[in-house]
Amino acid sequence: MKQTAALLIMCLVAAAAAAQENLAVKYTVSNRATDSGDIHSYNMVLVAGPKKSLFYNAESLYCDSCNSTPEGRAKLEEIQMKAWQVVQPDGSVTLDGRKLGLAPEKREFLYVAKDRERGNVTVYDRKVGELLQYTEPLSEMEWGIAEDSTRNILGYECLMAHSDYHGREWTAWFTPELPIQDGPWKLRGLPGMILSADGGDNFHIEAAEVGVTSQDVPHVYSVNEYGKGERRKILADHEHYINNLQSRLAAQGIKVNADGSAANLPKFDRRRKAWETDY
Amino acid sequence: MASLPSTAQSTVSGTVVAGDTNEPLAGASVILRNAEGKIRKYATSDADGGFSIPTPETGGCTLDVSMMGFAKQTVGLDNIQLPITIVMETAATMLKEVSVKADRIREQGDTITYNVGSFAQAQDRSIGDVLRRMPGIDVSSSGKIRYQGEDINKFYIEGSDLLGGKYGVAANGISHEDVGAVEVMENHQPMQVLSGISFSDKAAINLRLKDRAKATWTFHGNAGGGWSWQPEGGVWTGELFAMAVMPGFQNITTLKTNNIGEDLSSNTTDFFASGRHTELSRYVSVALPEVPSLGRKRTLFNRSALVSTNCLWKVNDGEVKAQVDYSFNRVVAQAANITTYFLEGADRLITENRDGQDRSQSLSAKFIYEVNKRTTFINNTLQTGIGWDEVRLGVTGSLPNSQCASLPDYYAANKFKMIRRFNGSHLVTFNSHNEWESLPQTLHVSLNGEGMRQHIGDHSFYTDESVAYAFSLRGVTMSFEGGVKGYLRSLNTELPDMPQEIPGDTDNVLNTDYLTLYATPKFEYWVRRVSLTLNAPVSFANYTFDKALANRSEVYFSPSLSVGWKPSNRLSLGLRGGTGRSPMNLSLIQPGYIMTDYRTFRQGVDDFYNSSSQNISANFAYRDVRRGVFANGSVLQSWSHLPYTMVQRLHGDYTVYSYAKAKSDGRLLMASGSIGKTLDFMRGSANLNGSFRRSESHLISEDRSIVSVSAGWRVGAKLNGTPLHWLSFDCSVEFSGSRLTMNGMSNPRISNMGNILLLNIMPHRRWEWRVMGEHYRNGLAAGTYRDVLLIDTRLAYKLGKRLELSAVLNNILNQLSYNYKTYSSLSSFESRRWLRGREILISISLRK
Repeated sequence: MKQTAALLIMCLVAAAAAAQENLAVKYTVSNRATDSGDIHSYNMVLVAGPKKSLFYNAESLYCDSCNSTPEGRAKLEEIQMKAWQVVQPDGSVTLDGRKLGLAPEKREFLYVAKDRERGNVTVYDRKVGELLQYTEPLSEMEWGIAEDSTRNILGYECLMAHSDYHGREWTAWFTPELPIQDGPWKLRGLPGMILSADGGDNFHIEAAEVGVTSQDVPHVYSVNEYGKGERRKILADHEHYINNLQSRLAAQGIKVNADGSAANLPKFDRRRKAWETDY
Repeated sequence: MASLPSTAQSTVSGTVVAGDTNEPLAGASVILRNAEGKIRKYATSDADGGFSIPTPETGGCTLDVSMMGFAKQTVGLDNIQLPITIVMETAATMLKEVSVKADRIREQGDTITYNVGSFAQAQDRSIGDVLRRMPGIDVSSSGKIRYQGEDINKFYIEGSDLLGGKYGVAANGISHEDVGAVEVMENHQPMQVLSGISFSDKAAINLRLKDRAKATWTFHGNAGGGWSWQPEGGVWTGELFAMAVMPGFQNITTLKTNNIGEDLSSNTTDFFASGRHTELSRYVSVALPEVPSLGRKRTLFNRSALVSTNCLWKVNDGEVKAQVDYSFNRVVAQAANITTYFLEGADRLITENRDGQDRSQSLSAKFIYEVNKRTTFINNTLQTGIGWDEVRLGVTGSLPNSQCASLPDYYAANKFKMIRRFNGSHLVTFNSHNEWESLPQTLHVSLNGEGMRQHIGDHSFYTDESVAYAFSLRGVTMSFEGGVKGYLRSLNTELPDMPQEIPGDTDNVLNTDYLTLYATPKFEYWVRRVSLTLNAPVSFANYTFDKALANRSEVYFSPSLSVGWKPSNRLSLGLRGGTGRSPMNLSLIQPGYIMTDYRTFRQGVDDFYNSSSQNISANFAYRDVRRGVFANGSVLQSWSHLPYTMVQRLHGDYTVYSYAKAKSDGRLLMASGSIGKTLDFMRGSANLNGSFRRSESHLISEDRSIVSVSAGWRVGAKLNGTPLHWLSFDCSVEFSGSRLTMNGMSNPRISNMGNILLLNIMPHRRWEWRVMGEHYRNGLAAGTYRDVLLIDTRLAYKLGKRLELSAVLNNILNQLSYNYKTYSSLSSFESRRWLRGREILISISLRK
């Protein structure tokens, strides 16, 4: 029996040595949606290796990888059509708009790519109605660790830490047992993986599953499609974009209200709806 | 590298290496703990495996070094030589494998879905009102919906396509309070058989109804009444809308009626309809005069009614749909006109006062059967349309007369399409179109006590049977379509009593038939940001004219090429060009005279001709969303070469148009552009747009060859905003001008100006007050202008969710007439029209 166990461990060791394993954490992220203000909850994945990591939505990455080639684009469309059709009780097949959620679709545009060798973090997202990216140095997060507070998350003993990051007071729970100093979204710089984080105002990230993957850290597809910018400028532009929807359409000659009356769309509340409020 | 802030007194430094290879390890986590095991400092190893941790004290401290795939090392820092080398031994990770790929099927998720409630405003009634506000969705004044600048290709209600292109019925009718969400399906390919082969850049819209509107009938309606000063009398408006959305059955029925100048015909417009191939057009043109640049609502003296019912049943394999529409429209119009014919020497003036009535009815029905499956698409559409149009027009002035035209229209068509898909990406399509139309026209004219009667019988049958094959491979799509077209048309005209001034034959008995074999290869190619489309249709046609003309056989080839380039996400450029030879419009073959109205006679060509044309166009579009700047522009130049030229002659008070065998070259230049910018300080925007058009054509007037150049331009500016939360405004200014030049002699330039200002005030959420002013300044001759000012107001009060009261006062200043002047190629036309006078209307709207 012991021999079998030893053999198994040896095999595992061999496997580990053969393939570089990366840490994979699945997170559930929730925040207020920009348009409706409802709590928006979605899944993200962090694949982290010693040199780099990517925080992404698996479905979006799948769609982007498909869309990067004409054949893939066609394949994706086929999958979507298959999912959206409905077999009625009488056997007929129709397309049902209500089933739109059943096929992979790009819904989350956020990618956060951290490069520890170059010492920077690049954020890819759709802001201001365009695909945009910006790069910042990795070194700007400072944490205060409160070691007296501990919490068990998915079987890992986590310690609490605080940081005032880009206008939001973040409370994070990290575990030294997972020895990569990384975390979800742009959060990083604690001596262990961050498994839970709360930024107040319903901004919350919680690990749902922790493990390893033999997959490489994925790359972001079609990076040339993303215009380069500066973070504060992009965020300020985005708020302006949300707040000036009506005038933007009107500048294109599109009348939002045929009768000329005001639409009075809700104003963007930075405090409640923005990840970063320091712009 | 990260560390806790402190003042460095000494530094713990070292290198992390792999035990088996002695290679430096980057990315290892290094934690300095004090004697109690608390974390004091931490770092990660760099690309050379090195780390350094500044710390005030090391006594009793330990260093934890860990890394994925290696066993954790703990080293006491007492009595240690720095820098330290830490050797890591590989170890099995005891973590399970996690799948980081996307799940193909997701159980939930919101898509490009608009929450109707968050966009709806107090004054909104229909879902169309709310759609206008949703970003990316644009609803034009005709009701046509566009998403991101492209026309939508389907409008679904709960996933079913009940109305086809008549979705205006739903957009104008369904209450926004019955709709939970609007879903936009981008790149929507409605034919499943084409999915993965033909990429659609159009979007579809799906309305998701609230539960209370499903599996039941919903109703709403409104009724209003009031008084009008011109036409003097009572006015009314009414509407009833009923909808049922059941699992296997859908129905939308709507009834509308009014006499307040609202044209109902656009309510049942089919936005997906293609033109009729029967190619018949009316020769008789007795129409009530219309006013350009002024809203139809100002000048329409109408009594209108509309009934539309649309049903959908789901059957075994597909869907059966039936749509029936009936409309009635009675319009009366009055106008005083002066027509000036520009002649060498002295111009000729004809004055007339028109007083007319147009009574039209139309009944149309459509029956559709559709199967939409992965490997097969079948659609059969049977369509019939009957229209009756009676126009009476009495004229006093230079040529006192009365005209009465009876213009019915009978049309039937069956369109069948079947697509089969095999071996994945190969498609075969069968098409069968058959259309029949009869367009009889009768015109009675009483002139100086004498009567004339023009009768025209015009029938045609069109058939097109084709088969197409397409496949797609690595960004290249090749398609090939081949088929046969047949066309049978017979024209019979008779005009027994021709005025003596006009010489010539007045009977036509003519068949213009053809049989065409055609092939259309098409090649499309995309590479990165460039797209290329080459279209090369070639056809062989045999024309037969039943002995009236010599039979002809012709070959036509008209290739076109378009190139698109998107150098960046903000800018797109396009270039298009085409050349070709085409047959003439067969309805121009007409050797005998036809009376088109009481003083115009028209004679066509007496032989079959071909024409040729070339065109080239360029366009650009630019958008910088972050700065709120949007611009676009386009230029088109085209040349046409006709072997026949239009001839205008005046015989007494009659105008006679005919054609002479003489080469006629035409040229057309069109340019337009628009630029817009958001104005942030008042949540508004400014927009400037302009267009220019210059066309050159050849005519023969009174045996003189005339090169006629007409040039027109238009410049407009718009400004709107919401400076205060209870106040919004919208204003626009437009200048336009035109000039006609004949053989180098220019007529005076005539210019017009129009200003519109709208103020919307909401002092309270239940109250809304709107004031609108329109000012027009129209040039009648050089330096002479006519000004018109129109002011309207509307006050609405919302009693509750189901009840609203409103009062409208239109044309407060009671302006009763409107003048304008326009140019046609050889004449000018000055008109005085009557406007709807002051009008008060009280309405109530109710919903179930």
